[in-house]
Amino acid sequence: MTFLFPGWLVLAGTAALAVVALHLLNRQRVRERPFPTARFVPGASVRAVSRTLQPTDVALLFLRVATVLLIGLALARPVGTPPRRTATIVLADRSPATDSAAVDRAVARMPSPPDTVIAMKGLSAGIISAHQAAVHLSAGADSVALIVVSAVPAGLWDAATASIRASWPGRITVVPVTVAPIRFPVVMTDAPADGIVRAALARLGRRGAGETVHLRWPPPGQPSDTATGVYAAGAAMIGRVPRWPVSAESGRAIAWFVDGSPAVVERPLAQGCERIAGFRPDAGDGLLRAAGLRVMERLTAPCGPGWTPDLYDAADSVRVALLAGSGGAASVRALGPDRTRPIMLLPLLLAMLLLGGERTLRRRTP
Amino acid sequence: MHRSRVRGAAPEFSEYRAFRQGDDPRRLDWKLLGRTDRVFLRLADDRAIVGTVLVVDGSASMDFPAGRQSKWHVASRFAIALAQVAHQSGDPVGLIIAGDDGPLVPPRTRRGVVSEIASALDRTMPRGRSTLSTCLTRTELPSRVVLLSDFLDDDPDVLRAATAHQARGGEVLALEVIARGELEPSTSPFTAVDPEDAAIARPFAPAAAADYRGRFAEWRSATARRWRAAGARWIEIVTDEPVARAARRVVAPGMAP
Repeated sequence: MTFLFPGWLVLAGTAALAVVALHLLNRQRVRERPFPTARFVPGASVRAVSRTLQPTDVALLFLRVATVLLIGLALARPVGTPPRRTATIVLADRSPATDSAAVDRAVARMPSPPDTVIAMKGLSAGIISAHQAAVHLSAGADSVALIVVSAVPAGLWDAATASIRASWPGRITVVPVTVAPIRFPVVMTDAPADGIVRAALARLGRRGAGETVHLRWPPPGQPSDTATGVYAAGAAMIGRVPRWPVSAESGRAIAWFVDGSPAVVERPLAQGCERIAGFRPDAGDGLLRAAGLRVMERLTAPCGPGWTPDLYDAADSVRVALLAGSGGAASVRALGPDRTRPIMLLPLLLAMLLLGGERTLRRRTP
Repeated sequence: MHRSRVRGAAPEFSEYRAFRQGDDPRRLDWKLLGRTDRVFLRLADDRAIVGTVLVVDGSASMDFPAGRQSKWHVASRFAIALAQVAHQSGDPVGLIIAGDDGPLVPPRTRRGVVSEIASALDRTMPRGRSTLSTCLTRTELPSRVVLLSDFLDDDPDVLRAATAHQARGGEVLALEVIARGELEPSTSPFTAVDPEDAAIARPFAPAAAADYRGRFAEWRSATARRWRAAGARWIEIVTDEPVARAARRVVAPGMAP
């Protein structure tokens, strides 16, 4: 327990000592009382009249001292201090770039179970969530340790991450896990029979489970015309490719023909998404070259907007060091407003009760 | 109207007495003389009006204990009760408060005299020393004097004045008012201070309680003996005794309380 105004405790202690001294002095002085028949009282010495200690004397002294001390305690405004304990908050990276299973294993291997595990897909949102969680943990601990279990890929950072990181008043422990290769199945429909697309996917290392991308190539048939190239994800695959019409209203364009018309549109499904391609790759090896692989990477990337290949870039030491920071666990007081409330009412009520008891006892004491 | 203490020639026969030289011959019982050849006087109790004055001690010692059970309050209530009895008997009744500038109500029979007495007693706060002896040496005192006091001043002049009043044919009724707290003081130690003489301050210890009670009782007995020996009626009234019961002891001593 700490006190907002500890000086009152010193004053209360001094006052209690004064009460004790006055009580003892008062005991030695016997009360004078008018008594008409005083002359019949035997002329005893004063020493004979020194008062013997009575139970009510001790009780009165206790009540008086306790009342004074309780009033001092109330005025000192005691506040409960949280126990000396470090709460733990874990930010578990659930972004596609981090191996989710590896994150789970890392959390399970922690020496003690964390107080809170927050799933995050971005560091900015994750650190803000950690701030909010820390406020609720402040009553049970005096410091909070923040642990980020992540591959810390570039995709976790945004323009505000650096300043939001600076708002956390302590070190952030980074538990690195591997960047997961893109683990989602690509279901293709009407893929070219020559296997060029599968070869490209193999080059990109697509395998495993995850979000399903349904990539629908145009059915074999007469194209409407040809286009001179397709670009997506900052790369352009130049070459004549047969073109089928793709309506812009049927989805969100993620690849375009060089003339600006949509080449591939994406439509969300209940699980995963469907991509409707308006072209078929030519028979050459254009798809296997760098630009072609880049386009293919985009066509088979996770569903949703905002994807860029560099989102999956593994963490570098500079980024990790910036995230980790320095110092120890964050102090609860530095994290937010003090939620502790001073305990004042109870000591005051007790003091009033004792005061009433002292008055009653004094009246009964002859 | 009361039976007079003087036997006179009222029509109601009381007793015979032998004729002595100097008696009024008109009081001879001639019929008895004719029957017995002996000369006797026929006597009867005279009816007399007995004036009464209530002398209430207004000294500081009467203001004990504090509150409505003090000796002063009890004495006041008693005085009012006795005044009512005397007034209803047709006797003049008055009041003297023996204290510093104590008010005086001359004895009279008019209708408002009891209220006057009550009002005078209400207005008075007991203080100072007792002036009983001064009050009793007034020459205009009526026949009956009722003293209500604790008699703690122990002034021999009071007894002398009472004795002199009785010698003049008067009647003295001494009512000693005692507080229960004086008979049974507190068991806690305290310093007892005489309210009329601050120089008397004695520490009171529980161990000395028995000794104190013995001394006080001895003084009361001695005081009662002296007053009775002087011919006065001496009655003790304790403050916790109901006023009506105590008054019956005073007014009708032969009756059961």
